[in-house]
Amino acid sequence: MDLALNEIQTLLQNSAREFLETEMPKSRVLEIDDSESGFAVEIWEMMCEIGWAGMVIPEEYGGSGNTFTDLGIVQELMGFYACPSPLLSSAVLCSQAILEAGDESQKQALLPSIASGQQIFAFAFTEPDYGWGPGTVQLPATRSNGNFVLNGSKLFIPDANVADQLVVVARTSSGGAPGQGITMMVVDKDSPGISVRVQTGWIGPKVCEVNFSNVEVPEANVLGPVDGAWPAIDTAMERATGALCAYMAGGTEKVFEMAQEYSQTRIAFGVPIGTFQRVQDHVIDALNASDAAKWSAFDALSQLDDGDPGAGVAVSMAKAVVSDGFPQACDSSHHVHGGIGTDLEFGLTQYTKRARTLQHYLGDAIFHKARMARLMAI
Amino acid sequence: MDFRYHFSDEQEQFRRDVRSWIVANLPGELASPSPQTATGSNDSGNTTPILALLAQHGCLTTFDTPEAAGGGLNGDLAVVLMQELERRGLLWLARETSGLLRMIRDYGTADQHGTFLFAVALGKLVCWTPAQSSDGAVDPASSPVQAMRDGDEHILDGMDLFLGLGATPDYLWVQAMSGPAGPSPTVSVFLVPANSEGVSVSTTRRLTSRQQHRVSFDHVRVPSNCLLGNEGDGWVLSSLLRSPQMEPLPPLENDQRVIQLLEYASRTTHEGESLSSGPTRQQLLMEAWIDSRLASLFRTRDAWMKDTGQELTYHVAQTHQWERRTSQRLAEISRAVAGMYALLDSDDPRAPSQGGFEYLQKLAVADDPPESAVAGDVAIIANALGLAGPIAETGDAPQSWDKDPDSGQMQSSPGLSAPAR
Repeated sequence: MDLALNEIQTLLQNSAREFLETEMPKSRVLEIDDSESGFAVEIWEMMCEIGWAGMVIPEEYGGSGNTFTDLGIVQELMGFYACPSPLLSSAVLCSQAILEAGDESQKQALLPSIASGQQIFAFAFTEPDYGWGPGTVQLPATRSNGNFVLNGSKLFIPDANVADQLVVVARTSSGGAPGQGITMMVVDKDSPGISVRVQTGWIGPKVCEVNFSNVEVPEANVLGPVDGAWPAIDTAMERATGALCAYMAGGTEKVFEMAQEYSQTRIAFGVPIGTFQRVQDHVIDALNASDAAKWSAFDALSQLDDGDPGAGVAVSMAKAVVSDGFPQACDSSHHVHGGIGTDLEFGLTQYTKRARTLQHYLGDAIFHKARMARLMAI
Repeated sequence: MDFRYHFSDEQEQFRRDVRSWIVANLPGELASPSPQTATGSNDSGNTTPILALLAQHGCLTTFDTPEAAGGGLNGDLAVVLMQELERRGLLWLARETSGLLRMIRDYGTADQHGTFLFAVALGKLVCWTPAQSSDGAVDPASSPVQAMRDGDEHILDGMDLFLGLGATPDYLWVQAMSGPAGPSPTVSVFLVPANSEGVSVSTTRRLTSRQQHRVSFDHVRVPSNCLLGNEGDGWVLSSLLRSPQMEPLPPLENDQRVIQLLEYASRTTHEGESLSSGPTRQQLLMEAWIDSRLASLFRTRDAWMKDTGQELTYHVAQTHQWERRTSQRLAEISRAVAGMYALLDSDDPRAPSQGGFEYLQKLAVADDPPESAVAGDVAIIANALGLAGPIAETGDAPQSWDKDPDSGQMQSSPGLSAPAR
């Protein structure tokens, strides 16, 4: 048992905190969130400059080959500062999909540009029948003249508006088990027939509708076996979910700290409101959510690093915990803050928005509890 | 990071020794690793032998040196011992005794040290402590016993509930109001001989086997040497007696109660399908599993912090609070999964899990009342977070416990500090 960070991880944590503290004040987060793209290219370039985009890409493909725990340390701080970026989509989810399913030439061709940040990839999985299981993948990819042709829509796709490439998950056959007949392919976002629309609402990070109208994809762009990509997709999503949990844990910690600080400084009836037991209950609920999120996330990341056979259960457990806990901690923090909490400049709503969006991303608590049960064979 | 507790060969050998010793020495119902049979259901008259046997192997005061009547165990072996006691529902006894000894050692007079320390640590002297009530966790003014000064003596009147093994104790830890009621009442603790004139004991029937006793004090005259600490220290002493800040719980492996529920749901069919295959029950089962796993992670964190010399502030209270709340939730989930079968006890041949689910129902409202001890936990956590509350107003109470590197003894350190997370 050793929950301490090693020397390299401590350095990584310190440098990440310093970077985000400088570059991600809440006013900047608000500014980026309010922008049309929800993307700050200069921040992204700086992140890539310090190597974050290549963390979980092996050195032979231009990355630094860090552990998932290392990545989690950065993600946790990004969540703490509500840092918007395509890091999870591109450098984690898509890179892991390519690593798992791609052949050597595809890895050599695609991964270095992801690791350097030169190209941004978005993972196009979810559809109008929103979900994260294989059965929800219905976008048809039909064969035509040595190509696959895509017709249909993907919905709620983070970072598709700023991506150069899409990793599209499509159905190439049906009739078998849900996991069969699924194919994954890299699609140039500038291909004829693709249109991207940023979806509107109280959503953060921004998500997009991607429409495909007779989009031709060369067969050489297929990652992994035709009809048989699901295992690689599942693995990539599992790893990305672990990283997302760390991001959400960081956000949960921040909203707890905001509640704690405000309850110590806000005076009502002549005393800090933190002396009122009802307020204490809210602060402690946020603390419990924060600690549960942190330790379950890092337990999962540690198991991913070890290749533990129980890692899948640990990841799904962590996502179930943070998917419930982060929004609940935000609610608790809003109870403590009252009206000031809804002031956009104050900063709390940036987290509340993310909590409610990321709660669903890569599967909500219900999805992951069902996945746990499946993996545990109960 | 490594979240797994790795037990050494020495620890595993010690575990085997402890188990052998328990089977050979403790009564059958206590030797069984089953929560239904533990905590001394039929222990009237044989309390002292049980305590003495536990004490002989350092169970009551694991860390103390033999010179201080302790087991002299190092931290690694104490962890194993605590795990084995917990499996048999006896951990509370060790923790209660340990808390009592610390209070007497830190606040008692030389005479009290002589009377109590070795005798309690060796299990030769039984001292009951008050059962914690909902308001008692946070409100010093709620002490139901009054202490009136009469010269050098105090006269006690009132009634309180106590926890402890056996039909009669040797001493009683009595928390009494020794001054006028008001916003800052004076509360004191007296170590009262149970055979004092005016003391009457009746053991109440409870849902669970851990015994609770109703003790009446009818004009009980106690000399000044019964006072623990100074007059007015009582609230602090009683708060610290069971303060979970003192000692992290041992690392928790798989919670057998949850494992049993999962196994039951997997093998039991309803309308041709296993209970666990239904989506609603499946979600509940996973919730129970997550709760127990989080408890395990919290315990691991606490143990790691202690091992690495980090200050435990809110942490152990948080773990305690979490486990209390999830215990009630587990009882609810077992009812939702097993239905009426969850209410059958171990005497019924159709009871699942040998009545374990039924025991959970009782435990959730009796030994794990979510809103009584939890209120105390909330006060401790809030205090550690810097949210001024009732405990923060008690002055210079020790708020954390550390092991002295020279003597190996636990020592208190005063004051509060920002929580380490």
